[in-house]
Amino acid sequence: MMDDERLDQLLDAWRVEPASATLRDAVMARAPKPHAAGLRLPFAGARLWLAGAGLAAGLAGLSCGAAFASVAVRDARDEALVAAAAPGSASIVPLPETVRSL
Amino acid sequence: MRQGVTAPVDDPDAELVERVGRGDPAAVQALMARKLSRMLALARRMLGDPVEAEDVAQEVFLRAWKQARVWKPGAGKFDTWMHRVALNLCYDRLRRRREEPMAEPPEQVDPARSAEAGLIAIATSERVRVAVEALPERQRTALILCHYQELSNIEAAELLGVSVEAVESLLSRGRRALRGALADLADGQG
Repeated sequence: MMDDERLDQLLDAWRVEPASATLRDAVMARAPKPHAAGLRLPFAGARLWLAGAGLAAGLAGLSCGAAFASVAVRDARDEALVAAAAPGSASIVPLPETVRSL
Repeated sequence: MRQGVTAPVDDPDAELVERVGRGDPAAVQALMARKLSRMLALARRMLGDPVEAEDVAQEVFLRAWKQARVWKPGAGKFDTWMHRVALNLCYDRLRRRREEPMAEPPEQVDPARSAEAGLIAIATSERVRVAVEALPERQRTALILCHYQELSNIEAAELLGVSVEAVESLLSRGRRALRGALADLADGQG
């Protein structure tokens, strides 16, 4: 009859292949990622700062745009007034004689 | 007599699992290095099909990654939990096989041809594989868990849902059957 030691020896002869690189890659592809577990909190803070800076820059841009627009409108109005006041301008209509005599 | 109080289990994987739960890449690599081939071997020996075994091993790890985030150390060993998941997945597949017999059985190496080629070790391996696979499912599982996976009888009993004495009985009957099936190899060749 076979003894325990020999049976164990025979059982150990049944070997199976170790995990292939393909299987390892497939397993790793689904492994937990650091960002999912909160390890990148400092980066999340940086993202918040960047978003805030972007918003501030946008608001500043809008404000500047509005200021430039108002200056342009004012300049256009002034130019129109100067043109209207100029001698020979079509906007200054000579008064008729009858009116002038009054 | 204390009832309902269980001592915390000393789990050698506890610290690693905790780091995996935090997404530590080094811990993920380490757990995979420690357990993947082990889970693959269990599935391979339970199912006898390398492709199905890879599917099971992959699924075990998919669940392990999720479980690591909520794992409570002290309740049990993570390795035992992984074995339970792997075994359940294997049982599902074995049950499905019985319900829907496969068109083609898994590829098997012809031991005689291997021996002719001088590959005595491979021939012996095949003889043992065939003998183990011929055991009744409970005996085979007990043998795989205790001999190949090197679990204690207590852990195997927990996984099989039986008493330690029942595991010892399963092992004893399994080994007796193997002695008979492999009797011609008793002289030490191979």
